[in-house]
Amino acid sequence: MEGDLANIVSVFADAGVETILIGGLAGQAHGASRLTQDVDFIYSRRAANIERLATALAPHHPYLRGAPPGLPFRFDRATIERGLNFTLTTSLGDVDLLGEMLGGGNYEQVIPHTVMLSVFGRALRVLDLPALIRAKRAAGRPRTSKPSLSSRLCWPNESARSPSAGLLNAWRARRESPGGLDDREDPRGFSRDPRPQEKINPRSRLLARRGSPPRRFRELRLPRRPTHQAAPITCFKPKTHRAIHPATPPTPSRDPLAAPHPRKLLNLPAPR
Amino acid sequence: MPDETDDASVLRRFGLEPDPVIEAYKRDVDRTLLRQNLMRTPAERWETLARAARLAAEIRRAGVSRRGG
Repeated sequence: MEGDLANIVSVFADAGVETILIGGLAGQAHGASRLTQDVDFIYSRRAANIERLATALAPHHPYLRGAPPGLPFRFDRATIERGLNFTLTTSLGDVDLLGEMLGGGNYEQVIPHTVMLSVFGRALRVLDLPALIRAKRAAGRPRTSKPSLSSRLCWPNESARSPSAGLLNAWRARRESPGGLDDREDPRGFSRDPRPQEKINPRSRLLARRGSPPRRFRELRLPRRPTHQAAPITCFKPKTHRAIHPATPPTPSRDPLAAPHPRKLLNLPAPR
Repeated sequence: MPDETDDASVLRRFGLEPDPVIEAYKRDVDRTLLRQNLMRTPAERWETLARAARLAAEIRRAGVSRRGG
């Protein structure tokens, strides 16, 4: 279909252009929810690939995005070889073609950090999650880098599923003290005991040891994943998890006076 | 002579002082996308968004499929 951004994948795949999907759409592949309107690719700077890239995009009228109309711009082999990164608008949509990526390098350097996906029946090489996070941090954008609040909510980091340092130190101190924590206990709230355990907030477990009452809510937990799988990217505020409690159903009235008399139910006459 | 394409110069021409916070964030925003969108009609913007969403949905599906979800 002409004019469909989704077609860009098949255009490159059919022409044999060596590209790697990066940027916001690569984030989508790993579960991010931020929607971008352009597609970002790293392309190989080998001469044969540059030729294929120019040939593949030529029917789709590539033009410099943001440039005034009427410039004598031609996206051909010579132009690509003279330049490096191109932000283009095409009849398919907006496409960014990068020769090098900040925090990743060029195509050949990025290739070990990619995964293959099947998109619209075509094989598409996509930047993997750790490399994507590294690239976002290297870019240092306030909206996606680690120090910003939004990135903590939208991008997983290594400590997201591990206990905080303070909690871990408190747990170690309790464990080493006489009469401290049991070996089976874990600061994350997991237990080696195969029997199902009540899942409560790990902090409240420590507080309970200290004599404070535990919190009354149960923590909404995601199932544990094997360590080789990346954590899903969640965009929920932490308090949202805590706000989701199973609603207590209303208890039916036990007042015997409120129930109708059996005679009424059986439609019997009143006793004389 | 001030550069007419400089955003700060354009703002000052209209009597507006550039906001330092906006200027700091502007560095990381691809404004060519914004300008390209402003050249389009609202219907064309909607179509562009729908196409991008279609591709994003397919890529998201492929990612979920690869993770075994």
